[in-house]
Amino acid sequence: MIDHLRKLLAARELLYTWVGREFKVRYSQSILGIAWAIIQPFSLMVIFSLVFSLVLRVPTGEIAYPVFAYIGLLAWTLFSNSLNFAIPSLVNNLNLVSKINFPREILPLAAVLVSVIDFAIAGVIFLPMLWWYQVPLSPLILLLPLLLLLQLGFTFGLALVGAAVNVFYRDVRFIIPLALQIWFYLSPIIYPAEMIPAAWRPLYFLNPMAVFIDSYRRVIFFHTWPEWPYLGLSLLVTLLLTGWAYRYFKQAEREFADLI
Amino acid sequence: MSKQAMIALEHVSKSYQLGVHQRSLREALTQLWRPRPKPSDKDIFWALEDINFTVPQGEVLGIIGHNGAGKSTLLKLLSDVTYPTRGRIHKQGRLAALIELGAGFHPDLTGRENVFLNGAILGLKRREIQAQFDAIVAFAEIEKFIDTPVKRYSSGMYVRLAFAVAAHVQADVLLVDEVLSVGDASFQQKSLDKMLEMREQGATVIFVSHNLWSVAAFCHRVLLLEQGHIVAEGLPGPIIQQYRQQQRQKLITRTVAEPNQDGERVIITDVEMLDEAERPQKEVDPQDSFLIRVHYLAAAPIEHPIGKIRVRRADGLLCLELRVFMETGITVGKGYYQLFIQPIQLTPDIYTVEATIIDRHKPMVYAFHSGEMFTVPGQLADMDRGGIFYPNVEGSYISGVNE
Repeated sequence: MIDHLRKLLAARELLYTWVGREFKVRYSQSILGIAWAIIQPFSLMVIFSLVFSLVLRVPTGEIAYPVFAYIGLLAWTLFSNSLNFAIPSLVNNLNLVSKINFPREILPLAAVLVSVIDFAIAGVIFLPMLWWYQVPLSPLILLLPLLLLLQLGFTFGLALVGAAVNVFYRDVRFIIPLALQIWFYLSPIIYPAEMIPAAWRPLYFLNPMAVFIDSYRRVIFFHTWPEWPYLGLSLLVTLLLTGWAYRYFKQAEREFADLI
Repeated sequence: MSKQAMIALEHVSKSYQLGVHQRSLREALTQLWRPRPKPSDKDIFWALEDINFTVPQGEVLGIIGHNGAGKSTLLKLLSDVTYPTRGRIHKQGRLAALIELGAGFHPDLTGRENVFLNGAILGLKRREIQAQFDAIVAFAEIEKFIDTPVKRYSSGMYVRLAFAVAAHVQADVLLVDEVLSVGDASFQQKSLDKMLEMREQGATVIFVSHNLWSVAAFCHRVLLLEQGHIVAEGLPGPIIQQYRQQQRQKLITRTVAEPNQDGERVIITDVEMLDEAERPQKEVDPQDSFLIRVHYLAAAPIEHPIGKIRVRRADGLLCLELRVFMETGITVGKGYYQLFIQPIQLTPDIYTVEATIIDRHKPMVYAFHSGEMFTVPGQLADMDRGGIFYPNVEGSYISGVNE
């Protein structure tokens, strides 16, 4: 394990270069370029605001629905983009994987990091939104980077397993959009977690994405600490998942060139 | 040998499981925590079996063999892309695999961006690429287009850039696969010069190629692979000869076994090069005479054949093209046609002979054979002397006269 990490560290320049490549390629030859990173979550936010605050009237307390939904959409877009790009990343670069030796986790990892750049761009308009809707902030927002890091760790773990299994079974490619669709509704993105009946919450919060998004809202809007038991559980799940996923990936990696 | 071994293979074998992997996803999920069941023996294909060799520092080792002999598997093993089923591979120093030219090139990125990307994939640090950047661009001869997306490049420019990056990798051991056969003749020559320069500098190289001429020109030692085994090993000349013999033998057995198969009425079985006394001769002085004899084996008669002989210089330049009218036609069985050149009058270099049997009246090629080599020994063309024609210097004379 340590040996693998050392090799990954040694190849970090390749990682940076690959992230740069993926980012440039994603928006090359599009007129709006990186504006797409904002348009995606922003337009969803507008639609959901129309439907859920004007028509269905989802209760979000004192927080205006658009900002409330936007933070959820930001976090979710980061998650789903990461997986959508990371899972096919090995198969899409099969001539690299089958001919050149390099730490293969660079490909899914780069896909996650490129999504982080998108997330940062889309996040820029979150600040004027907070100001526009007059949301007061508290020092608790200092927790945000840690929460984000946790979410990324969880995402990376899933990306590693997904990308590796996709080499062996291309079924994964078809399962992912479906799974993400269901997962979207199982996470408090367009509705507040409080709408889930209290009896169901321990089960509901087994989903780490639900915990992460709920925690973002708590520290930004409600100035309360995250719910520690659930967050602790998510941390545990993330550590176990990512550790196991990395080991599984490095073990499966030995067969990639033979099977891809 | 006092030099240390850069690469050593001990009893290396590699097997592949045959057939499509149609395990169900359920099986796959259980395999996430349970080891895979061992496949039965009959589904196993041994791509390499019990391979042993060492490569001392500074050696250029050539690996030749038919398609499917195990060459690519061997390269994959050496570059750690895949792992041996049995045996051990020891390696020393930094290794670079120039196997996939332009690995990671993306059409939407500019030449400059792709150089850095490709360099990073080949294991170069950013500052190493920066230091070599100008040399790479100059070598590829694309200074004007370096900031243009590579999708607008011609295929020639594309491979030149890809090769240029590969050629500037500084490594202790280089794995090279067929990369010399890119670009036009002059770029190929440049590529070969670059490789020779690396050889001079003491690089250890493992070179896999179908281009027997570049293997002969470049390698110190050659391994011949056949069906996953090393069947011969030694100096390039004899091993290449043995490989040719095998190829020819295969062709003969095929033609004799199935005559009239897809119009293959005749095959060229051998091209001999002989001196005046009809002794085999692979070296010929410019003023010596030379006999090229082309042997064929016919499965069906040909009424109006023409035997053609071409001599090309190593870089592909056509030096000589002559036709031999075979008035009596070709009858079933063995035969030969020949060309006697007296004297040969070619400048010192390496030459290859191409033999073709065509029809006098129809646009039809019956047989083609190339690759037989001969050398005109002496100092190679340089700045002061060049060209291909080498007159009888003793008979003529060169003098300077002021008028």
